[in-house]
Amino acid sequence: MSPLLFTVLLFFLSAAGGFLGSLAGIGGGIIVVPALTLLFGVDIHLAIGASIVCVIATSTAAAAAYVREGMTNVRVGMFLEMGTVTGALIGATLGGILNPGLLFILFGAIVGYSALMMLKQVGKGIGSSVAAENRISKWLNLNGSYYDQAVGKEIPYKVAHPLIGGVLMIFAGMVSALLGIGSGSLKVPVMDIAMKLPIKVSSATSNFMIGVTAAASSMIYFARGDINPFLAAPTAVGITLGALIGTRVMTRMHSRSLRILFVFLFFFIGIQMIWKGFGTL
Amino acid sequence: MKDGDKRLELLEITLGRTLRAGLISSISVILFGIVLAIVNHPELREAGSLHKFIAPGGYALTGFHGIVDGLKEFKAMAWISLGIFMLILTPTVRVGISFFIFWYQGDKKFMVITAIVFTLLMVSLVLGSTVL
Repeated sequence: MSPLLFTVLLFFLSAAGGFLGSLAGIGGGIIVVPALTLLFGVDIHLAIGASIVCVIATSTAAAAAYVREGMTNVRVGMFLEMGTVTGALIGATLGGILNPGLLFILFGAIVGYSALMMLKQVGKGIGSSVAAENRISKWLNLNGSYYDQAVGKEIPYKVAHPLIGGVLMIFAGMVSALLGIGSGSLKVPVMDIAMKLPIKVSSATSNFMIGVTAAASSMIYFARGDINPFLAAPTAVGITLGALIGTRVMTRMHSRSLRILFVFLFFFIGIQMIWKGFGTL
Repeated sequence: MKDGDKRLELLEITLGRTLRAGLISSISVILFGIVLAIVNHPELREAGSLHKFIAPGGYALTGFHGIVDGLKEFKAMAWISLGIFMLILTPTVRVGISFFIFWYQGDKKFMVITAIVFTLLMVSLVLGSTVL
């Protein structure tokens, strides 16, 4: 295969991934790393470097759209970013030292976990419990409201346990930096379950934070030389274009059958990654 | 609370615009780099040379001097690296702008919070370049 053909293939594959991912509500990283390592045999450290750049691109595109719709709780996002960015610093520093086999196994486990989370979401409807007034949330003015299109009115909500949320976000940031993924599947449950934010606000705010988290780890990967322009350029451009087309085609309608398809794909990828991990340990 | 809603709007609209502008400009620069690569690098069409491009440590431009010199000479990889760097800076700029919006709104607590996030981002930039 010539390098040019490789670039073209990578571009179209990333565009397809970005397109389907945006329809199913999935970010780029979880598709890019397995595609580069399993299909093209790229070194996992370089795959993670290319992927973290894609994560910035897709989350920036999504965040720009959500933030204008007023779905994002910007204040909660910025408060929690203190945790995710701290985690990203730890994760990116560790990432360069860890054994590739271990990275494959960790990645496989996280992909499997994401599949389980998606399966749960496909099964149940959106249920949000109401939080009691929290002193810190009140002090920082974190409580907010959002416009629910289904009901047709502004729905106010309170934010529970901001400090617990912040500490849990350190872990989410670490996983994101270590594996080159947005780790929305870790951030959303923290906000949804622990902090009792409405699910739509949780996913919009998660997207808002992912860009900053990924920027912190990218700088370390960039300086370390783990971001190969030859790999990062076609994937970042492809995934951004794919995601932009995806959001135009179907605004925030996360197709159910597509999500089920991704659940199966993720289980398959998870097993493949873990298998490869044990092979290279 | 009407006044509060308006304040939030300023923040959200500005941040939305910043993010979109950063994304569009950085992706354009990367695309320009890709075009340069296709035009100026005939070795990209040679079969069998792929391993040279995707080998670990083989093809990353690091160090700002290398990138700046490459930009002047219209080197494809330098332009692509610039675009990637602009993409990385986009969320960082977003944090910086929020700091000034909170300042303008007199929100001291959130000025502190955004300043902490911005400092952590700068630490990662410094940490990244000193690890080398």
